[in-house]
Amino acid sequence: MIAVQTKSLIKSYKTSHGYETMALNRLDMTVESGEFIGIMGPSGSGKTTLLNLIGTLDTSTSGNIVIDDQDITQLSRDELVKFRRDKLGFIFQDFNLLDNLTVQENIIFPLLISDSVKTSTTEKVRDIAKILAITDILEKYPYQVSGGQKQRTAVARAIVKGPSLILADEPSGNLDYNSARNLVGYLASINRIYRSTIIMVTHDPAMASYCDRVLFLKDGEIVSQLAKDPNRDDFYPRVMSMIMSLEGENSGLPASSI
Amino acid sequence: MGYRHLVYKNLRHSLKKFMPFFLSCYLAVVIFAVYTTLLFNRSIDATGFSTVKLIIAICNIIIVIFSLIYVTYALQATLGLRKYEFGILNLMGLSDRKIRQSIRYEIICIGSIAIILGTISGITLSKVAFRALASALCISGATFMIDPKSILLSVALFMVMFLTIARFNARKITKTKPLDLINSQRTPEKVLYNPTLGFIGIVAPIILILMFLIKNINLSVLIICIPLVEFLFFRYGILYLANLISRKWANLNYRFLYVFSRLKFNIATNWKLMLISSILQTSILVFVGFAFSAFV
Repeated sequence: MIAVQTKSLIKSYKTSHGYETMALNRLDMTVESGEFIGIMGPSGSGKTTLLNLIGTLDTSTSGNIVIDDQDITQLSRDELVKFRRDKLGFIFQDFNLLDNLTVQENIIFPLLISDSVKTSTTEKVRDIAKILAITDILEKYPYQVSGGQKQRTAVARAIVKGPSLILADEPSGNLDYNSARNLVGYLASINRIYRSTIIMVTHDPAMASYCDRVLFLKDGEIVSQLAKDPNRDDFYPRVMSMIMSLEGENSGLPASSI
Repeated sequence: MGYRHLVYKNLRHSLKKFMPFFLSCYLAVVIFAVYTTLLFNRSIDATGFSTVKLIIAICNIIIVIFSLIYVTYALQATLGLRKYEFGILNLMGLSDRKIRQSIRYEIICIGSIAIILGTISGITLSKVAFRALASALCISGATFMIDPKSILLSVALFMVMFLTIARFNARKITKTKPLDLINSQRTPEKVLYNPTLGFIGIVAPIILILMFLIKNINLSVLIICIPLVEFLFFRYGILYLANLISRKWANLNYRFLYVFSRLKFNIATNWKLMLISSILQTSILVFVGFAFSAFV
């Protein structure tokens, strides 16, 4: 079953000098339900723009995006809000938590918005917290916890409603080596346990090596893709060499394997 | 734990961000209440000083216009600090209608407190203002009095004003893309720098003052020239001057560098308010000058 499909997706921006910049150029892609997809590419290749368009946070210049058989480019603003609430979960590089609410309140907030709080909600939050190892910090505020814990809180918030699609924009961007390794492990577990479709934008080939498929973007187009290897240790070098061939030796990407 | 409880908790922790808005509302209500109490004082009519009342009435109109601009600006600055929060709420699926409701609810709560406290303070201060006015103009026979109509007018006018501002600004927030709301904290104001207009902006006020000193300029020319010159000065002139000074001094000392970079950013952000304030200030001064010369 197809979870996400983009058809001839174009996003262009007008610069202050009047020039038009093409962020996405007739992009076609298909993501199967339950897939863990990685999107990689050099800076300015259109990775985050693509994620923002799929996440209904931005509007495309032309083309269509179909998620769960629904063309989101045809939805009104109110319908988009409802769509986001029911179908999507977001994980950002900057965590984007509400600082005035505790970790538990941050996780439970999306459920309160959608009026889907039941007596079992607290149990559900505790279960997710257990998987993400944040049970001890549930009563703490975001400023009292580490970056890795904040990001795991953001992951918990993203999955608590059981969305059909989780979008992660550079989730390890603000994390250290160990936290990044843990986080991607948790994302892979969530993908396995809940069968959630995950689209993750990353610069890190080691993070991407956990994905089922990695798409490579350049100048707003998908130039290549790699499917998962049964052995992750073999998949990582393939991702790395693809990045090298796209950007050259001085890509500035971390060479360490997680 | 419910949705309302969490929204209330979030608001309670954001009270610090509402302080500039509350103070602006409070000050506006205080000043208006002082003038309105004096305006509705019937005992001044009997003393033959009705011209004073006319001046107070005109001042009150100016205060209302000024308050509207000032409070709107303060609210925009406050909401600007919370755009990120609204972006997150919208991202999680909180509808535009609920965000608008929440903004309106917050503004009405804070506005109501400002109206109550401002009216009480205004009435108290108006007694002092009445004594000062009576003493300066040697008004005898008039007594200080509070007409309930003045309280009603202050409360009604500012409640309508806050509701209108709340409605307009809440709509503006919910028309913004969630991505722009979330990124608002990271996006600095665009600094528009034009050296030619900047130079004109600095020279124009000097020429205007010199012309005024050397030659008696026609009033209508002055009325056209002042806003134009003020616009050039605040929009381009100050930035040009700041750039000129910072180019020479900023690299010598980290304090200069920091102060001038902040100054440039603040000018770019606040030039509209500075321009409006200065035009209003000029209008009030011109009006008071005319009123004073007519009265004396």
